[in-house]
Amino acid sequence: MRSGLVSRLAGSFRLRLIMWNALGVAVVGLATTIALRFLVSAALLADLDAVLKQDAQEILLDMQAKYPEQAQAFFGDMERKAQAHELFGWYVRLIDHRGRQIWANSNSPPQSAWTPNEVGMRIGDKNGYRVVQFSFPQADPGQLTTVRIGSSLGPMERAMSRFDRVAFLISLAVLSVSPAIGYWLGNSMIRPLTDLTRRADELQPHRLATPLPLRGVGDELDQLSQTINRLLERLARYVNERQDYLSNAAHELRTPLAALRSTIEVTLDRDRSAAEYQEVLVRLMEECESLESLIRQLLLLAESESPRHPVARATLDWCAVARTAAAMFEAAAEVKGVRLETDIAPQLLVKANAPHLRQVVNNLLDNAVKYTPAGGRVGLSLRPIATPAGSSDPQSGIGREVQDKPAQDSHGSGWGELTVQDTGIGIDGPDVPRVFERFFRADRARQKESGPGGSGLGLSICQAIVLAHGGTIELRSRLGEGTTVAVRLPLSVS
Amino acid sequence: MMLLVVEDDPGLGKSLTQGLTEAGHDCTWVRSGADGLRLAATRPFDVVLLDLMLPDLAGLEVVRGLRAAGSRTAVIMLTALGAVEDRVAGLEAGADDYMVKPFAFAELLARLTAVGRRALTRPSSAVTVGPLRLDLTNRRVTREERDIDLTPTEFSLLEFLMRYAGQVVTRKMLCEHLWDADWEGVTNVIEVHINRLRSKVDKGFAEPLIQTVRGRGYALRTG
Repeated sequence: MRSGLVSRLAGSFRLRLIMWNALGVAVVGLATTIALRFLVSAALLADLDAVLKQDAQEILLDMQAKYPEQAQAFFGDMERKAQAHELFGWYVRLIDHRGRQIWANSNSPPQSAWTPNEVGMRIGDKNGYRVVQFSFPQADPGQLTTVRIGSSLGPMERAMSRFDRVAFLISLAVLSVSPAIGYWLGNSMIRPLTDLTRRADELQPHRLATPLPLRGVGDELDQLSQTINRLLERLARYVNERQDYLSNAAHELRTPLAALRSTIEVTLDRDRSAAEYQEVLVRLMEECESLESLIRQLLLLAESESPRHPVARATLDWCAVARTAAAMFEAAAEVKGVRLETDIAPQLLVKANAPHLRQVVNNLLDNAVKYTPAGGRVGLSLRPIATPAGSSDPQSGIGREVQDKPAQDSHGSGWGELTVQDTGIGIDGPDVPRVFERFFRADRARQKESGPGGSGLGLSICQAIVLAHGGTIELRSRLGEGTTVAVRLPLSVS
Repeated sequence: MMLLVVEDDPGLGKSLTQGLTEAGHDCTWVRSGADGLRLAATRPFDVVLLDLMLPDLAGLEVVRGLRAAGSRTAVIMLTALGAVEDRVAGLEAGADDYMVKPFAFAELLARLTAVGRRALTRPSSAVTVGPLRLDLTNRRVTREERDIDLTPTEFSLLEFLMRYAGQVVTRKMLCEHLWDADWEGVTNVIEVHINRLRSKVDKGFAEPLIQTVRGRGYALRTG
């Protein structure tokens, strides 16, 4: 269905190319022919005029020598000249000042020309003849004698019509060849395009890494291929990340499941006392809970990243969320011997999904309290800032591009920045850029010292939620000195 | 309470029926939406526990059918779909409460109590459990006439435990009650508060009232 559509479109594109090409050739050919015809006929006419003018010169000289004294000799000259040029319908006529014919050669056409009224020369077309007429004054004042020389336009017209016939035949040939040329041109233009279409059509989600071939000429089609290749690269990376995520998720789910299974099998191996059974069931319950918790986190991640089903958002007070979170962890921190200090603005409104925003603040505080040893300090601050500077984010994958849509209504109302700072164990330098990766846990051995490890999803969830809300998240850490996480969100107008 | 369980999954249906019966409820279990609708329309149940994804009739249709027939029986929906829209759709169809699978059985019992009570009584201004008395109007707590000084969080925690006295209350329920958050991080934020509350409520008395139920949560019990 789709390939049919593509080939149909390509066909119509080719058809258009052919049509345009044919039209272009026809227009250029026709214009050239017309221009040529005009130029040739003008040149022929100019030639004829020159000849006629030269004849007139000669006749004038002859006339000055012989007329009217030796009129008969002059007329004889004229008659011979006319016979010599008979083929061209050449004639000569003498006219007096009233327009009456004095003399004309034998083949001259019936009289019809301009009435001579002034001295000088006149050239023009008259009844299919090219006529040159010059008048000069006689000895008697007010009397004019006019010599009119004409030559038939017939030979020239015949030459032009021969030219027209040839031009017509050539035009016909060009018109019939131009679609073929257009077809060939169109084909050679379209071939790379159809190649590209076919290649793109063959792409499969699991074979995205095979790029479209470049022809190496660097033209627009190569640029298109390069653009598509870059898109493919991003998609391939995205798909790979997803696949890794899926297999990691399956692996992570397997761990509590394995514990469940082995506990049950070992228990069923032999008879046990009621107390033992109860002990086992409690352990199973705990494993169930960690499974549930993992699944809930996976779903939360999917929910916050889903571009098709954005979570519902409302305007809410971020500071209230932060204060609640602080209250929630206060006692736990105190018991652990960690001082929890807060510096929270009175009110900062954000457009957010309440459970998701709570999750972010809670996750960050949880990490801070968990990784800070007794005697340490955890600082929670939430303040308005001017710009979300330093939004360089090590995890700017495709997910970011899909999700990073700053809230439109937030412009002009600034940003809020929440930082959670601890004096905990910190993260080793090389691990810092990886902390937002799913299931990444920095240095498991250290985690075991500091109590139960998490799912490795906490910061991924924070990042997904923050990005979905058009914000940024940044983590700075030094091994042995502590970690600071800064979350910036666009504020909403009240 | 007279309960109707509409659940097509045999494992969950069986354990629900067993648990509810053992908790003292009169429980009927059907496995299809049509049967559920027919039974609910003809017999006076207190609460219907309704699975949302049934093979024949969608759970939402069952609720709508019930409500259309004029039944005001309380309905608690059980479903694997936990998105906000799904909850809203369920509540809009006429359900009274909504629980996402997997859920803690203790929480189901608590919700049953709440739904049943919503239909019957108004909340009183004071709660008494054995020697313990909690007055909501002046926020005073006494045990055997001795005043107990509690922080607002501890007061809220105790109130919740007393409201569900004798029942197991999960950490998740307490978290939702106290901070409106479904929090299951690594740091056990509830345990710390429970320990503090316990040190104030039970210290100096022979009988410990606040008990930890391993693997499930906490319970306030007397006798």
